[in-house]
Amino acid sequence: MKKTIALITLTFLLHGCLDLDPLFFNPNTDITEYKLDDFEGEQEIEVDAYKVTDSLNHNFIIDVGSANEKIYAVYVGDLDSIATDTVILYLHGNAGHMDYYWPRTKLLANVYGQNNYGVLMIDYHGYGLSEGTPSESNLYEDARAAVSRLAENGLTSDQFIIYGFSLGIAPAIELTANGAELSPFKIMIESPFASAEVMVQDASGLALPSSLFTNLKIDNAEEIKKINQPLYWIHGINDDFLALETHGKVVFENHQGEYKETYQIPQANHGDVPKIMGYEAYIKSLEDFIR
Amino acid sequence: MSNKLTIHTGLQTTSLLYRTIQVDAEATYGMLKNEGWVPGISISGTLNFLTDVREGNARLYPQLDANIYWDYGKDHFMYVGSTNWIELNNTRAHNRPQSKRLLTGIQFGNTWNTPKWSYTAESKWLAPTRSSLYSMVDYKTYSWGEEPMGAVGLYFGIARKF
Repeated sequence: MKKTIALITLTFLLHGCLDLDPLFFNPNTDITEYKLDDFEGEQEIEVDAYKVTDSLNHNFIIDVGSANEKIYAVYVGDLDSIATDTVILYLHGNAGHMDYYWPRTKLLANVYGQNNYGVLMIDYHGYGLSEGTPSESNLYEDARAAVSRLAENGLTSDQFIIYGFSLGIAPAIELTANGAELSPFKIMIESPFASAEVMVQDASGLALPSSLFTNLKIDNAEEIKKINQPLYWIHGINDDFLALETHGKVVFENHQGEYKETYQIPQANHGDVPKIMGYEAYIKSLEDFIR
Repeated sequence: MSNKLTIHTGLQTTSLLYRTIQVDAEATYGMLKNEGWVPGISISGTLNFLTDVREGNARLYPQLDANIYWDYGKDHFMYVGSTNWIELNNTRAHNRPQSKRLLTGIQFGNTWNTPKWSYTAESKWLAPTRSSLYSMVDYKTYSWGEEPMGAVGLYFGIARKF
């Protein structure tokens, strides 16, 4: 009987000591500086043919929240003309840090020609050199702080576009749906996930609620119902991380706005959509949507 | 309960570590006793109840298992069988239809019985006929052709006899 009681006691003492939430974030903090074009680590795409003007790449720090934790950002464009430029806020995925996503930023900075649009990218809490720990609430707070910085520099909503990739869809949709200092006039999403619930159900094969496994409440498929801005959705048909059918299509179909367009790319997986589609065709699709 | 019928209840400790309470109640019926190389056969029905302490969401899953087993040594038996979880929900997230009603698996394991306790180690291949290619979790599992199928897990159980 003593052994039984000891076993039950131990079980309840250990109750709730583990959490799956950190598995959702996969940051890399093993850098001492951002290298952008000189970064030699792994990147899913390489875009050597697409240049940006070095003098227009600006690294800076944004203070976030009441604790003033510092997150890092890179702006590709002329800081002095943000008030009159069109600016894309690029919200990256769950892996690595900004160097990893730098080629994607360069592609956006080549829409309608080299350095035609300003592009702002941030490293969320706990990514790269940014302080703190990644979390759902920090994602939203970081993106809001980035929008505030753009607004402080004079950007207006009618010149503001949001582009979210994978994990970055959550802050992209949350900000657009629930308001920030600026409201984008168009929203673009690449390889989105529908919700924490779909992730759990795809992984388990059962109709389980996500709260059995995680504290994450991300629900892009519901939040996007509040968005009326034109929507651009691009997704790899062979995406084996966030399936097109169970994730992307649900988000797209739930969008209630008047205009939306989709590109479903054969042979493309999760992180290589622009590459498989072809960079020229990818940029053209963005131009057609933004026009 | 009798020579042929055994009643078990269980608490899944791994789930508890992740703040999910998973309990089960199981009845196992011995249909045939093991005789030499001829295996014994048992079938069992289980009710699995899961609830989380985060939001209080709950699910109930009936489960039907069938195993063949061989006694060996003084107090061991090994077994091979299949497990089937039954999905009672008609819809999955975002009101999409839940098309698959059965989550099957195959398992083999070994149980060591002592007078008061039994210890089980089991390997289970869940959903061996379903592709896990489009799951965001990279399960350790077997592949058919290019596609990973289901998920393989190791399970360890301790049971107190009363």
